[in-house]
Amino acid sequence: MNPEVTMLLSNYVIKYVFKEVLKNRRIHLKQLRESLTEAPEIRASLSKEPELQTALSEPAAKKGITDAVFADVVQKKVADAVQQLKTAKLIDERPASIEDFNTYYVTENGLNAERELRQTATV
Amino acid sequence: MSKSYSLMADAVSGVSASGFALSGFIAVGLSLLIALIEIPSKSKSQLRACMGSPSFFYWLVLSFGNVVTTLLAWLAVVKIPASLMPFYPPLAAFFGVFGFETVLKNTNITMFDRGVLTIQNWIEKGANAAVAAAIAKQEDINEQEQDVLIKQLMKLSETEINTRILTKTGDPTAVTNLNAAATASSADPKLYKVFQLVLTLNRSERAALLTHKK
Repeated sequence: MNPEVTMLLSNYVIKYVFKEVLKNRRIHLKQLRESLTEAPEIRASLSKEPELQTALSEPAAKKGITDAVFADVVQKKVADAVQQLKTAKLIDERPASIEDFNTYYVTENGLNAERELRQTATV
Repeated sequence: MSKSYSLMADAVSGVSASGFALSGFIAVGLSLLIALIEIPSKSKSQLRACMGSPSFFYWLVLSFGNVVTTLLAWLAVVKIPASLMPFYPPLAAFFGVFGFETVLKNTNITMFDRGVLTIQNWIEKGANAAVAAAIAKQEDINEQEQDVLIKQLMKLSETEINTRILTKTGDPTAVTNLNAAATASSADPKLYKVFQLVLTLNRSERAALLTHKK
C-alpha cells in the first residue's frame, strides 16, 4: 500500500472517519460529527487537545463550556479529516447547499485500501 | 504437471464435451446471480445503480474464475456414482462456483497456483471497482431525488415541518436542536429541518413525494 496512505491512517481521528465512511458507504458531515462526539475512545483521545485541557480546568459548573469546546474541536478535526481523505482519493464528496448535509462516500481507492489494511489486520 | 494432466484426463474420460459446456454455462449464470446480489449488498445501493460497465467487467472476471474452478470441480464430481451422471454438469457448476476457495486450496496443479491466485486478485479488484461505481451512481440518484423532495417539503409551513420532525423522531427537543444547529451553520432553519426530514423518510414516503412532484 501507498506509504502516504498508511501514514494518513495512523491518525486515530482520520482512521475513525474513514472507518465510518467505509461502514456506511455514504455518510453526511453532520452524522460524522455526531458519531465522533459519541465515540468514547475519540472523546478520551481528544481530551488531550490544548483547547479542551483549558476548558477542563474550569469548574465543573461550566460543563456547558467543555461541551461547546469539545464540539468545536470535533468540528475542526472532522473537517480536516475529510479534506485529507479526499486529497488521498480514499473518499469523495457531494456538496449540499448546507454544509452539514455534504455527503462523503468511499471510492475505489478507499475500498482497495480497506482490502490491503484488512490483509495486514490494521483496520 | 503431465502426471496431473493425465490424471484429470482419466478422471473425466467418458464425459461429453457438451457436459463440460453445460457446466460452464451454468457457472456463468450463477456468477451473474452472485454479482446481482453482491454488488448492491456491498455498495448499499439500488440495483439500477449497479448497472454499468464496471459491474459487467466484474461479472466477466468472476465468470472466468468460476468456469476454471467448475472445470477443476469435475475431478471430484466424476467420483459420484455413475447413476447420477445426468446431474454432473450442474453439480460441477455448483461445487465450482460455491466451492471456489476450497477448490483453489485443494488443487495440486502447481502450474496454475500462481495463475489462479491472480484471478482471485482480479476478482476482488473488479468487485471494488463495481461497488465504487455503484456507490457513485447511487449518489447521482440520491442527489436528483433529494432536490425534488426538498422542493416538495419546502411548500409546507414551518409548523407542519416541525410536527413531522417531532412525529418522526419522537424527541421533544428535536426541533429546538435542529434550530440551534441551523443557527450554528448560518443556514435557513426551515431548509435545515427539511434536509433533516428528507433523511428520515422511509421508502414509501419518498416514493409518495416523488410521484406527486409538480
